[in-house]
Amino acid sequence: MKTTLFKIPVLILLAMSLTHCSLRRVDVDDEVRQPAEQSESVIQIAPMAPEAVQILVSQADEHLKEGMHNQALMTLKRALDISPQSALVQQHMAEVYLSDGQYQLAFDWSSMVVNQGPAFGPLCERSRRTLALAAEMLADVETQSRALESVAGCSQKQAPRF
Amino acid sequence: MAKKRPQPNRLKHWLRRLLWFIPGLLLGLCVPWYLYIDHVTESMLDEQWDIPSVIYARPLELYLEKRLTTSALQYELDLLGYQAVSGTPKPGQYQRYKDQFDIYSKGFQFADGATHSRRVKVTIDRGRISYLSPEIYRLEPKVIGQFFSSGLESRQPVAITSIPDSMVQGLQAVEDRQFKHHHGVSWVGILRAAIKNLMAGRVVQGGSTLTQQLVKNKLAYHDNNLFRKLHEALAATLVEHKLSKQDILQLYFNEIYWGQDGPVAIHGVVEAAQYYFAKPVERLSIAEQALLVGIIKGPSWYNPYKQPQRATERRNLVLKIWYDTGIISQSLWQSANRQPLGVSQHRRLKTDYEDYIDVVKRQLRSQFSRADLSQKGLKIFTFLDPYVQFRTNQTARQTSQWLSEDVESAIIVSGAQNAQLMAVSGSKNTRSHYNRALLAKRQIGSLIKPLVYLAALELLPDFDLEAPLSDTPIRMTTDDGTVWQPKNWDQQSLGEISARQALVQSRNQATVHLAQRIGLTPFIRFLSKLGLTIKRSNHYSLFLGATELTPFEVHHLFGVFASRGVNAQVLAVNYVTGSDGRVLSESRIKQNVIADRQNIDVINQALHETTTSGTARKLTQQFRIPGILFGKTGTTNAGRDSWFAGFDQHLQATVWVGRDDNGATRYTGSSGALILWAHLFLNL
Repeated sequence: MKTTLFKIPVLILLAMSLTHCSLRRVDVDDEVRQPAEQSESVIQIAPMAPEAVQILVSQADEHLKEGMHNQALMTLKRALDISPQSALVQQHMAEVYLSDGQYQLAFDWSSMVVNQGPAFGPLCERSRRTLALAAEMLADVETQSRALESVAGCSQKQAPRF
Repeated sequence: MAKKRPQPNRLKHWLRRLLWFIPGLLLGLCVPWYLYIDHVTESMLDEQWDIPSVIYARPLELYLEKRLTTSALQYELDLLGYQAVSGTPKPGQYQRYKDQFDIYSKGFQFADGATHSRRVKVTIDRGRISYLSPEIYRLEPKVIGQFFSSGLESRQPVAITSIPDSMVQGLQAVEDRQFKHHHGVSWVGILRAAIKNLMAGRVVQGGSTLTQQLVKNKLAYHDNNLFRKLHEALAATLVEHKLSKQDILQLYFNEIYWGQDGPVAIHGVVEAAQYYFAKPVERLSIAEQALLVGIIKGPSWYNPYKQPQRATERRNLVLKIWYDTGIISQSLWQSANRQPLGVSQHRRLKTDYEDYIDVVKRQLRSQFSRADLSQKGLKIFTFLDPYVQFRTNQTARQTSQWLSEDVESAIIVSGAQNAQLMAVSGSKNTRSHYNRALLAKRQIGSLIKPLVYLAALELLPDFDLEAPLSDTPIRMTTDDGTVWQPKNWDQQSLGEISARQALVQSRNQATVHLAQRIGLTPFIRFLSKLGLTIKRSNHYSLFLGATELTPFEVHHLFGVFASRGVNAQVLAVNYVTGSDGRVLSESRIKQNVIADRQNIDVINQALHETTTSGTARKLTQQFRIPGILFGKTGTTNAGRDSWFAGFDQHLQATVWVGRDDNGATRYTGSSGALILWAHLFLNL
């Protein structure tokens, strides 16, 4: 009897958290980009890419603001055709997929940036936050906590002076 | 005694009956007939054509610092039908001065928005775009193919306004001069034709109007009895009642049968212009327009390929009529009259893109039905690069010249970092429809060695490429008791050498010694991670490439090295939209990292050494190809297969050379396939 009484609230909580996951939409600006832009790391890495890539990434951001996910993705794919290994474009792909609710794709793209992208700076932080959020939505607690832990590693803080 | 009825009354009775019967009979037959024809014409006009899906090449993206040669840009513009002019360009034209291009683009509706028609200025300096206005611009993509309906009708509807006026007027002058005045049937025309036929004693002239011809074509009549003619005349009258003259002409130009390309029926002026002259209809010359109008009368009788004399006479007759009726001037008539037929000679040859489209078909098969592809007018955007495809075809066509007549070749080219398929050639011969790149399963020989050494780096804890290996004779007995003694290509054994040397110099014996440490089962398991399924193999000859793969599969395997450890599927299709531009399907770039990047880099270093001091050193020492190259040669017993798979920072290419009957050749990987690879890279 006691076990049943214990199980019911646990199940309700689990159901509520799952419902929360399924209803939740990630706000990329709030949860991924803004914290990273305030990065205090002394090492700031902005990977090199042709100017055209930056133009297309900005266009994709505009599409995203207008809620045009497909157009944003197509534009980012153009950028990726120009610079296939660009961590910046890969991270944007992950963020578009994340805000579109395509968590597995967001997971895959952000993993790529985590594994092959910069180890310091805002892009490093953003990729780990994206991975953590995608993993959360996919109920992959282990990856989520590992990604969140690694966010701190993206900041190379200035050594204290005495 | 009964009185006899008078005779006149009886006659009256029968006459009255007849008076009721005849209108009744007419009403009973004619009304249903009329209703039937009305229904037929209505459904004929409402008929939805099967619109074939169109396959596009990649659009040429222009941006600062892009690698692009002037010849590649010139080729692209010519291919897209841009006209070179010496003055200020108008839409669809360009002006070139040395390395500077002033292009007036045509614009295109892409899935992510429209690219508007505008002036684009490009300057190319040392193989890169050094100036561009605007900052980034996409040219429209080239149409590379279509998927036809099951009825094998090739047709692309066109608006009457896109057809040259001379052709529209010229058609009426030749086929139906009373077109503007009659109501579907020209009784004067019928009478004139009847008299002429009577005088000639055979059918020399038809009296059908354009509308009747359209009806006949639509209803596919093949017999000419009186009832059919009546049927046709009534239907033509109804069509005239329902459509304007302009609509009828447009329908005619889009519907009429213009000939046969093998099993495919050519319908409509767009397809006819493409089939006979490889041109868009707007760019047909007067002589070409006259030929097309002329052969409507009998596309097989006046077939310009089989009956050039007859077709020329017919064309000249049409030109004469056009001159007589004032459609063309005297000078134009005289100059057009002198021109040769000028029909495209490439129609029966495989198109430059056919081998590539085979890959497209494979990749679409799981997502779209045959009916979807042939009827719904989908737009399929691929990664094909027309200039790279052109150079690839050119290279393949030279196989006999650079090597020998008895060998065939297959070439595949993709982006080195993104596995986007840029070009495929399945044969050196334009008439061969056997796509060796996709279908020819051949032993891969030493091409497998980089994978063997990568497997060793991944699976053996203390192994690196500096580890010593024994390049000495080895003797192994297989399960069936056969003794196997692998030899080196130079019949020598070098003794103890480093693993790096063994890979760069492609040493068989040293590789088999290493194979014994890896083990057959772990190696097969490792290959399966790359997507390579090896049928049950219990023989160590697998480590020397005794397995059969197609050139396409080999290309996929080498993509692991080009992309530094990512196992990405080689993709031909980028995305597919409906006719309304909505994206229906897009390629998902799935990239599985299957090997440690450090290990890949170690192997790549050895693959680079192969091109500078190893079996592929010809690339740098003889051909002097610039840039950093990576590659591996492969040869199977008695030169049955000659392979070279290699890449630089931008492109990856795989070349196979061999005989279709699997016979011996005198080529090794470096004296056969590598030669084609080198020429291709020199020309890109």
